Amino acid sequence: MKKKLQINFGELGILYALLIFWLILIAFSPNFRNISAFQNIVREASFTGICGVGMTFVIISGDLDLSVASQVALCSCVLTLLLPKMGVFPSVILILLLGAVLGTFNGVLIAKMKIPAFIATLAMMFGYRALAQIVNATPVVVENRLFKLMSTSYLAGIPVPFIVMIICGVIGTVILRKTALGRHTLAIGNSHEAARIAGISIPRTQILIYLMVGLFTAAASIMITSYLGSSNYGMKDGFEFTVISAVVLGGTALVGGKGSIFTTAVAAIFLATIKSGMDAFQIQSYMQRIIEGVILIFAFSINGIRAYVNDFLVKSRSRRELDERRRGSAAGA
Amino acid sequence: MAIIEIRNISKSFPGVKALSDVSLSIEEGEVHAIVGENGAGKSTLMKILGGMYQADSGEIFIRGEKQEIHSIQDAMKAGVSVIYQELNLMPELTVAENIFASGLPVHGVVLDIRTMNARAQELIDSMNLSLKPTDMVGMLSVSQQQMVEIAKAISHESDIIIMDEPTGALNNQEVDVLYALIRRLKESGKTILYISHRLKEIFDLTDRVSILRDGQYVATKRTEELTHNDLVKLMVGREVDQYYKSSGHALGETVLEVKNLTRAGMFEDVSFSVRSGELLGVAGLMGCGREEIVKAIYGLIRPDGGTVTLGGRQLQMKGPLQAIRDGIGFVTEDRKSAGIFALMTVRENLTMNILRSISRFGLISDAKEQELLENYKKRMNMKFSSPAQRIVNLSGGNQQKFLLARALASDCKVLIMLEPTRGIDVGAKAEIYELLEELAKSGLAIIVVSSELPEIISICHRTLVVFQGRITGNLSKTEMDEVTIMECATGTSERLDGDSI
Amino acid sequence: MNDRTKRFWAWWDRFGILAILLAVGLVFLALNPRIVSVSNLTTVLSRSATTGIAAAGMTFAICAGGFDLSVGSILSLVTCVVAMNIANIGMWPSILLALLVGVLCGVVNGLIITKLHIQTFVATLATQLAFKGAALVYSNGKRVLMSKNKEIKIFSTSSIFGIPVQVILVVAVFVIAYLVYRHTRFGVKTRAIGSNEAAARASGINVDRTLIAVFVVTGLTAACAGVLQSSRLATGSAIIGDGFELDAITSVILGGTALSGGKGNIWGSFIGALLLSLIRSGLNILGVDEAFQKLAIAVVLLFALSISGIKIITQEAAK
Repeated sequence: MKKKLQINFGELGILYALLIFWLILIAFSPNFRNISAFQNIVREASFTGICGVGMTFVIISGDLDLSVASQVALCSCVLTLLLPKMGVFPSVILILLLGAVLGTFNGVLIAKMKIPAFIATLAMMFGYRALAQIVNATPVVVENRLFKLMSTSYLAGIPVPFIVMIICGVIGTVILRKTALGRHTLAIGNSHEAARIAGISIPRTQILIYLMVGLFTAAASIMITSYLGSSNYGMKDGFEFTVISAVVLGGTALVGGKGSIFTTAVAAIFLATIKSGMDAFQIQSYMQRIIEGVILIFAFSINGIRAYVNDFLVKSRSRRELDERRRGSAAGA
Repeated sequence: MAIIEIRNISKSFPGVKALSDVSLSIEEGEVHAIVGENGAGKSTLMKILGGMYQADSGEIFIRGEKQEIHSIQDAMKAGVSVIYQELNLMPELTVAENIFASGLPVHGVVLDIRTMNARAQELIDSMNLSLKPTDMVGMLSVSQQQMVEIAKAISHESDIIIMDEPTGALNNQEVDVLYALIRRLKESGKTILYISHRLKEIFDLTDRVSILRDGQYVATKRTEELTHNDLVKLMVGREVDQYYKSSGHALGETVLEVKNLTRAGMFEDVSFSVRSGELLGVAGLMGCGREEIVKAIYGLIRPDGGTVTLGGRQLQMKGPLQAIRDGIGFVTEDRKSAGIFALMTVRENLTMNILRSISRFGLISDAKEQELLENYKKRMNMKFSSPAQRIVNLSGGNQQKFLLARALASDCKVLIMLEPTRGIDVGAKAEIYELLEELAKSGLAIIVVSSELPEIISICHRTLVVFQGRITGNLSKTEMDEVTIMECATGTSERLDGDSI
Repeated sequence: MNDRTKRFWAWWDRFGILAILLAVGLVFLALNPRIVSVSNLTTVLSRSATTGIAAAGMTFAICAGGFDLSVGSILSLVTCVVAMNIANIGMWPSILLALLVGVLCGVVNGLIITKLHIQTFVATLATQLAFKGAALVYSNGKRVLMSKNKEIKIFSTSSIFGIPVQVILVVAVFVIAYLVYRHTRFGVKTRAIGSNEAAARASGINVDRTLIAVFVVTGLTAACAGVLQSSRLATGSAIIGDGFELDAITSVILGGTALSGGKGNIWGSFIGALLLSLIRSGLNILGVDEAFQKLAIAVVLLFALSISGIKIITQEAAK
C-alpha cells in the first residue's frame, strides 16, 4: 500500500519529462520544427553528457567535483598549443593523458590527504583556472580543419559528439554495473564504514574515480574546443553547474549510493533543450542564469520534496485508518 | 491518576512494523519498567514519547490532556525528558554546555557562564561524580558520558523521566549511584519509565512492569507479584527452557590463536584461542573493549603489540582486505550503517567481498553471481522478492542473513559476529542460532560478541569476559551463568580456569 | 595518539596560523623589506578588511558544520544595490538597503537548507548561481559607477585618529563576532550543531532556526564586505565578487576552524585574512603575474586543508 503511494521521481521520469517538453516546443515554436534544431540540442548536450559520465561516478560515491569546468579550460588551452605542433591524433592522446593526471591529482588530495572532496575540488577549480591563464593568457584560435570536423560533422545525420557521448556512456555503464570498480563506487556511496569492513580500499577506489572524471572531462574538453574553434582561460565558466545539474536531475542521489549514467545523458539533453528553448523565446542570458540556479535548487531538493510528499501521504493514510476504526467502533457501539 | 495514557499507538518503518496498537498507562510517582526482547518496540515507544519519532497513529495523554508531540521541544514542554540508549552528547562542548544546551542561562543576551557552571557543579555534586563543569565531553570516558547524559535529563526538572538502558556502560559503583538517584527522584514525586533488559534491575527498582512483545502490548503487572520466570515467560511468549539450546558436538584443532594483543587505551595483553567447531562467546559491559579486540583481529583497529595466528600462520593484520584473504569473516553490530549497502540490490550485497573470484576479464559474471545467490537463499532460507530488490527493504533478520552469507562467501575459517541478533525478531533469532550451530558443526570457528547474556549462555561452548580491556573470565559451558559473567564483567572476580585456553 | 602529538595539535589549533604568518613575513622580509614596512603593513591590514569581515561570518557557518559558497555572489549583488540606489535615495539608505538584501539572501539560503533538507555547500552552490544571476539582471550586466556620489569613499579612504576606518570596521566586526561566539546562546548552539547535529536536536535545540540565523550572519557579513568593496571601487558590478568565497573560506580554514565543525577560531580567521592579504600584497610588490597570484591563493588553501588532513590522519592512526 505504502509502496504504491510513494512517488518515484527517479529512473525514467526525466525521459518522460524530456519527451513531453519536446512535444510542447514543437507545438509552440516553429524553430523546433526541423531536424537541425534537434541536432544542435543533442550536440550541446553531448558536452555535458560526456563530462557527466565521470561526474555520475563522483556523485554516486557521495562527493562532488567542482573543478571540471576549470579542467575543461586547462585542457583546452594546452590543446590549442599542441595542435599546430603535433597534429590531431597525438595532441588528443596527450590531452586525455593530461586529463587523467589532473583527475588523479584531485583523487590524491581527497583520498590520501583526507580533504573533503568538494573543498579540495573548489581549491582546484581556482588552481586549474589559474594554470590555464598561465598557459594561455590570451585566446588562441584553432586553425586545424580536421580537428574542427570532429565536432561539426555528422554520421547518418547524428552529430559526432553525440556518438562520442554514447560511446562514453556505454563504457561508463559497463564499468558501473559490471566491474568491481563500479560496485565499489556504489558501496562507498552507501557507507564508507561498510565498504571498509567489506575489504574495499576506499583511497584506491576514489583515486580511480577521479582519474575517470579527468579522462571524461578531457574528452569533453576536446569536443568543446573543436566546436568553439578556440580556447581561452575563462571559457566554460559555470559548466560544473550544468554537469552537476544533469547528474542530479538524472536521479543520482546527492548523498550517493545509487545512480545511472543513462539518465544523466537524458538529463543533459533535457537541460540543453531548456537552454535552447530559452534562447528561442528570447529570454535574456542573465535571466537564464537565475533559472539555471533555480533548476539546480529544484534538482537538489527532489529528495527533500519527496520526503515531504511521502510524509504527507503516510500521515493522511494513518489518519484515514484511524477515522475508519473510529467509525467502526462507533458502529459497533 | 494516570500521568501518562498511551492509546493505540502504531508506528512502522520500511520493512517492519515496530509498534502496533499499543496502549498503556503510567501512574504518577511510580518507577515503571518497560521490558521486552530486542525489537519488541520499547525504544521506539520511548522515542515517540520523547518526540524523536512521530507515531503513525494513536494518542498520548499527559495528566488527562491530549498531547501533540511533534518535536523534542514539544516533549520537553509536556514535561518529558529522555535518556537515550545512544549517547546524545556534543563532544566539542563542555559538560555544563551539554547539560544546559536547551536552556542556557543568560543575562539579557549575554551568556551567564558562571551561573551555568555553578548549577552544573551542584548537579554533579548531587550525583557524586568526579567531573568538572568545564571538561570537554569528548575527552570523557563512555561511562562518564553516560552520567552526563543522565545529569542532562535531570536538569530539565521534568516530571517524567525516561531512561532507556541507562546502565549499559556503567560499572557496579556507578550503577549504585544511579539506583540512589532514581530512588531520590521517586521520593521527590517524579515518574520514571525504566527500560532495561537486565531483569535484576527491574526487580531492584521498579513498582510495575509493562511487557511488550513484537511491537504489541502484552501485560502490565506489579513487580512484586512476579517471579523472574514469569517475567521471562511474558517477554518471550513461551516457556523459558524452550530457549535455544546447543546440542553439543566434538571440537577440532585450535584454529585461531591470539597472544598478548595490546592496544593502549583499549585493551591489553589479551590472549585466547578458538578451536575448529567452537562457538566462543565474548561478554562485557559497554565500552569494556570487547568489540575493539575482535575488530583488531579483523584489521579494523591496529594493535600496538601481540600476535594473531591462524592455522599456524602468523597474520600480518594489514586491514580488512588482508583479513578476508587470510580467512576471517566479520559481521558488524551496526548493521544499518556499517553492514548493509542499503541502496544496492540483495545480489550486489551478497558478493561484495568476492567480486574478483566471480569476474572474468574484469567483468562480473551474471551467471556465477546468480548461482551464489540461489545457493545461499536455499541454505539460509532467505526471503526476498527478486535479486534486484534493495536490501534496505528486507526485514532485519533477512539482512543479517545476507551479512552472514557475505562473510561466508569468502570461505572463512574463523567467523567473528557482533551482536548476532540485534534488532531481529524472535523467529529469525532462532534461525540465526541454528545457522551458527550448523556452521560450527561443519568445522567453522565462531566468535560471538554479544551484550545479550542469555544468548551467549545458550549458544556458546565457552565464554570470555572482558573488563576494562583485560580478559577477566574464561568460563566453560558449566560455569556460565548470568551472575558469574556479571561478576567478571564488573571486575569483582576473575575466573580464568576455563578449558582450552 | 600520544600526549606530545595531542599537545602539538592543541598548540597548532591556537597558534599555528600565527607561526605561518610570521614565517611568511620573514620570507618577504628576505625577498623585499618594503613588503613588511609599516606603511605597507597598514595597507595590508586595510586590504584584509573585506575578506576578514566575510570570514568572521563564514567562521560561524563552518563551525556549524556547513559552508556558504554564495558569499561572493552576495557581495556582488550588494555592490550593485548600493551603486544603483545611491544617487536616488542617498548613501545611508542605500547601505541599509544593501545590508537588508544580504540578510534576505541569508534567509533564502537558510530556508533552502533547513526546509528542503539540502546540504549547506550544495544549497549555497546553487544560490551562488542564482544570486549572481540576480545581480546580472539587476545591473543589466554592466558596471555601475558612482562617480557622482564620492561620499561612499569615506569608508575606504578616511581615518579616525590616524587609524583607517576599514581597520576599525574589521576589528569591530571581529570583536562582535568573538563576543557572539563565546558569550551568547547562539554561539553555543552553533558549536553544538557542528559538534553533533543529531545530539543538538535531541537536546532540544531548535536546529533549523539556529542554522537559518547562521546563514543570516554569513549573508550580513558578506553584505558588509560588499558595502566596503563598493566604497573602495566606487563601483557596483555583478562580477566583483567572483572567487571571493575562496578567500573567505581559505582565511577561516587557515585560522584553524575545524572543517568537521564544532570548533571555531574567530581570531584565527582574522589572522588568516591578514595572511592572505599579506601574500597578495607581497606578490604584487615582487611583480608576480596575476595568474600566479591566483594560483598561490589556491595553493595556500590546499596547504591549509592538507594540514587539517594530516591532523585527521594522525588522529585516525591513533584509533
